[in-house]
Amino acid sequence: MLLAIDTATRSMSLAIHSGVQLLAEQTCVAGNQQNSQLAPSIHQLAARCGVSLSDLTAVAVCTGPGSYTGLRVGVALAKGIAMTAGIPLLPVPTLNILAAGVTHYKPASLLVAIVQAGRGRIIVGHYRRKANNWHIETESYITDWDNLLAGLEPGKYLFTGEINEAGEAAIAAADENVQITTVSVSERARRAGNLAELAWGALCEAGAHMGQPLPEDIQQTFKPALVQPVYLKSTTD
Amino acid sequence: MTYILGIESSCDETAAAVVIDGKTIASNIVASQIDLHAEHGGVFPELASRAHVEAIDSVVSQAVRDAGIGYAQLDAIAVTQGPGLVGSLLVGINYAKGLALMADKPLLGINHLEGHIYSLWLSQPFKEPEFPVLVLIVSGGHSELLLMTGHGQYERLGGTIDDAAGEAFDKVGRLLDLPFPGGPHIERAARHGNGTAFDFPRALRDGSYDFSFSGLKTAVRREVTVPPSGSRSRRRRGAEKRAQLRSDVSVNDVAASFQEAVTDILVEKTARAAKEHGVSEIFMAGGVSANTMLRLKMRRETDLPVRYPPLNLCTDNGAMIAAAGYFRYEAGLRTGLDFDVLPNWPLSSQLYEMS
Repeated sequence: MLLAIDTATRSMSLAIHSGVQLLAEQTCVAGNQQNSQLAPSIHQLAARCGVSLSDLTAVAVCTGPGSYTGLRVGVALAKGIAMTAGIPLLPVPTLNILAAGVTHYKPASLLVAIVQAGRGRIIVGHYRRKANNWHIETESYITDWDNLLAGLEPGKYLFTGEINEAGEAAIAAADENVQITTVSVSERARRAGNLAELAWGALCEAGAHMGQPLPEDIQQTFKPALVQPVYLKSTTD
Repeated sequence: MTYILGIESSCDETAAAVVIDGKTIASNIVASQIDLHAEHGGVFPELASRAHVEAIDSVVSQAVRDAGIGYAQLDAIAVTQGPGLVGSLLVGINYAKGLALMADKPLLGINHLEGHIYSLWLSQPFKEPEFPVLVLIVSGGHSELLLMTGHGQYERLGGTIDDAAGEAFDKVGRLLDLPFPGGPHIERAARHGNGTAFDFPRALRDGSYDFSFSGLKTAVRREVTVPPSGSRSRRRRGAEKRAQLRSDVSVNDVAASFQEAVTDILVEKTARAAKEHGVSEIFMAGGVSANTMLRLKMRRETDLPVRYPPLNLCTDNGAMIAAAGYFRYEAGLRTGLDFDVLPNWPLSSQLYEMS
């Protein structure tokens, strides 16, 4: 049983995944209410699908990039749960969760996932589809809409994530050799169900088997103490 | 026996402790960030928040392990809810919420200032006080004068209107090129200095119970630094940090005279309030209550018994939060999972009714 927590931006998404079934999922824009809403929401979500938190075998958390406050709320609470239960904590980057949500695509398109970074800046990751998964092409980077669009080679692109009005305007004004399709609003939402699936994937890749206790080396690989938020900048920038 | 886990992360210490029956420390772990902030000469909030996230899990689990118990044996989780730095508070609060969810234990949101007061319940041997008592809390972030009439019952008599006493120590320490935090280093330098060498101002001698230390800091700066050469350099942010220390000034004399001024005003107002309110005892708490001169003068200026915490409990720690939590727990108070951070939470008589 895995609990997935994402409070990296103004949205708050939670999921409980059994490994074969998504038992519960909740996504809403919580804004600055994350700190007061997160713990009660987990309590209620588990109760609603009849899961006892003592049945959890792993926790997954979105580690950013995103709002520093949101990240600290989610990561600190996830650590509190995982450390107390003595179970692994899996870190998952924000942009990977966005990419995992995109299921309608044309072959050969490049996927561009975007998160707002404040003051007109955005964090961007480029993904390509290989073997039924989205793979990131380069390290994610921080930029703004104009620079992102000016830097794209001619070709077909799918845009997902936090596309605001400035983004829509920039996309509309893009060069005609750059063909951009934005994914639907519901596919753009960062859902913890996708976060949970990515985390299960990582656990299985590390040697976990459904219905069996996790091997000791997996506990070590995903020790809660190793999980830290991903900050955009060092404090001295 | 009642086991309370206390978690504190309001400023620059990540701390956790287990306290039995509000009086006996079973474990007490403090991860200090002093080295991290030393190069800035003060606490840098974003840096502090990040360091809390890094330290919180090992600090809390070590506190429970050192107490020789498991999470199941805890009766409640007490955590600092405010006042303090928002980003720092959120780390301790959310870790505590996760722990409470998982271990299915009640939560108690604790006022950091109340925690400082209850550090006095942790000195051994302990003698139950006769209320009312007068409380002086002096630390890097707070300078408060309170009348405590019972557990969880406070009347605020006054407090600083600008810098906290400990903040003044830090700032003057920086002017004198002494390491951070300023308190212990100024005290050490003052031992070799003449406390009457400079007549620094004692502010607000007006019958109020408020404090002001900002003018004192400015007076010290005027005395010890070379004046800035042009008007432009004066406007630059952080100019005081770069102000040049005059070579002919005795750091020891300045430290001693500054310490005289701060302790004079703290002791004068505390003694007057104690007399006016007919208290049975004077309680001092917080980092500055570790100052030997302050302790000495306070005892000299009043006939009342003066209590202060053991040295290791003057600065922020989890044990004081657990001790304050015990009395709330015993009073039947609980905090819901949805409680929010209170960065400017004053200590007042409504404290126990808030839950």
